[in-house]
Amino acid sequence: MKMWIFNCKEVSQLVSQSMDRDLSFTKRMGIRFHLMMCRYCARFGQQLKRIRELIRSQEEDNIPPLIMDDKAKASLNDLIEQRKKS
Amino acid sequence: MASLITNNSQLHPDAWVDNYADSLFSYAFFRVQDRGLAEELVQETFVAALTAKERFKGDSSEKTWFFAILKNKIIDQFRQKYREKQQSLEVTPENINGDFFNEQGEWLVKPGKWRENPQQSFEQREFFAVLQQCLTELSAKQNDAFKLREFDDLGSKEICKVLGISSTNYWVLLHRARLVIRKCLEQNWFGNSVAGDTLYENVDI
Repeated sequence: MKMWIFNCKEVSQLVSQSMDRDLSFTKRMGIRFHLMMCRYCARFGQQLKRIRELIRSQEEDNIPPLIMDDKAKASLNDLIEQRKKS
Repeated sequence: MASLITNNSQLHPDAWVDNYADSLFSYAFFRVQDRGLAEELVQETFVAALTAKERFKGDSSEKTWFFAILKNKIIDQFRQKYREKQQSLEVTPENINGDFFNEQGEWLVKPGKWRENPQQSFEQREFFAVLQQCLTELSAKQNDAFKLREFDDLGSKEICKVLGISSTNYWVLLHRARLVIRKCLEQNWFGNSVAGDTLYENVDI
């Protein structure tokens, strides 16, 4: 049963992997067993999910706003004018 | 004055620069961290939008459509970047989480308890400023891998292809990125953490 016994380092790796793919039954059981006794790794998993939620629930406009150079904007307008003519 | 609301499939290129250039540029910069490159990406987005304008069906808003184009351009840019320097950036797995765990595989600094944050948009904007700061703690490749996964929701196989890395390398990169980002957000955003309370500290696992 040794393979069931993971330490925090191993569990954190597996929890991280579970964000991106399905884990085998044995690994899932190993994680569950560990999380029953370790609130820190449980937090780690919840917090990774929370970060993902926060990132994905946002609108693109919530990115720190910047102003594009006037020159770059002017060339964008030129581009649009050109296309209109052609 | 061109209307912003596109209930029909009318697009208004004359208003595009005023309406979208800055927000597209801000997003592009957030993703690539380079003003010149961000400008190029916005330009490419406009070119693609002008070319594809007839095919715009009005299913989504004009803005959503622009961001979808930009995000594709960003991923293309990563593909190109990593095709050019495929070999030079391999990570060394040795020090992967050395500064997070001790020899026994226990947390050196235990994840703390996070305070709940109301998700109001003004707060969200601050969240992204903090996240941007945290992202600077990652290597360029960790940064790109993390963003492709969390922002673009690309799958791990696809990200391996884009970055030209093995899946082993991918798990190392992503896990490392998550450890760093989690810790940084705990310190700078979720605050008031109760780091490592003692109750379970001596449980032998």
